[in-house]
Amino acid sequence: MDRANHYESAFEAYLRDRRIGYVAVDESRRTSIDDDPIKSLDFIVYSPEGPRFLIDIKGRKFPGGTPEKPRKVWQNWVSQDDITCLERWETSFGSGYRGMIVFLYQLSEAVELADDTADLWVWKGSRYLVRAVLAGDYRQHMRVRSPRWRTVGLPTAIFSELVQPFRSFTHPEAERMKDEG
Amino acid sequence: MRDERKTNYCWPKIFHNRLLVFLSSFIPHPSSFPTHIISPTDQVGGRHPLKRTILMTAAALGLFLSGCGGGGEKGKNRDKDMPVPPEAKKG
Repeated sequence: MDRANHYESAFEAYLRDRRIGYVAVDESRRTSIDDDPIKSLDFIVYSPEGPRFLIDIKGRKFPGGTPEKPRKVWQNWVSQDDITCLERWETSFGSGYRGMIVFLYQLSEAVELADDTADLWVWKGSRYLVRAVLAGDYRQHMRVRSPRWRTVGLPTAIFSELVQPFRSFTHPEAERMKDEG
Repeated sequence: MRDERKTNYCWPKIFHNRLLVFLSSFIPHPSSFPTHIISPTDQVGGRHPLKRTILMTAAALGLFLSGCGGGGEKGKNRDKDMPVPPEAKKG
């Protein structure tokens, strides 16, 4: 991770606040698998109730665009390399680990969300919405967004089906009981 | 990792502008307008040049005005819809 990146720092603060075990990967160190350089992960998160997650953080603003022309779209694009590298890390770590893309949406002041919105995180005066998609699911449904930039993305409807608050993955049992109760 | 990538591309707008350039190539220069009245049937394969000019200008103007709305479906209800988190609602 890069602590100069406010999205990644905000996520680390979120993990600490929720008392979720993690390892922050130092991005300045070279990482490789079988002597082959590979893009590093941001975090390894230890879920108390499920698998462990190999996490790549993606920071996005909501709404996007300019203040004059805001675009109220929950951007979900990533680079093709992000997915490929997460897949390689998954294979390398073994079956107990799942690759995951965590989207941190930094909300503008004009955005109003319900107070009980899951994983709405306030840190250093900014509000973030913490959402996650498993890399395997993303890979299965992704479509090329820009061949030139080598980016991929999910159609909005599919993204809505796959994306969840981050705590739904780390505390699935608690979320299930909350839904039932 | 830095993920904010500012792009100012607006493909509908670019396509729209290129279409206008393409259409403008069909508009004859005023110097080529006929100075005498001729029947449309005298023209080989089509309309009187002036009539064609008017039609093409009207089409280009229509396209331009439709582009001024900006974004088509994306712009629909832009300010009316309150944002909700991206995930599908449960139950």
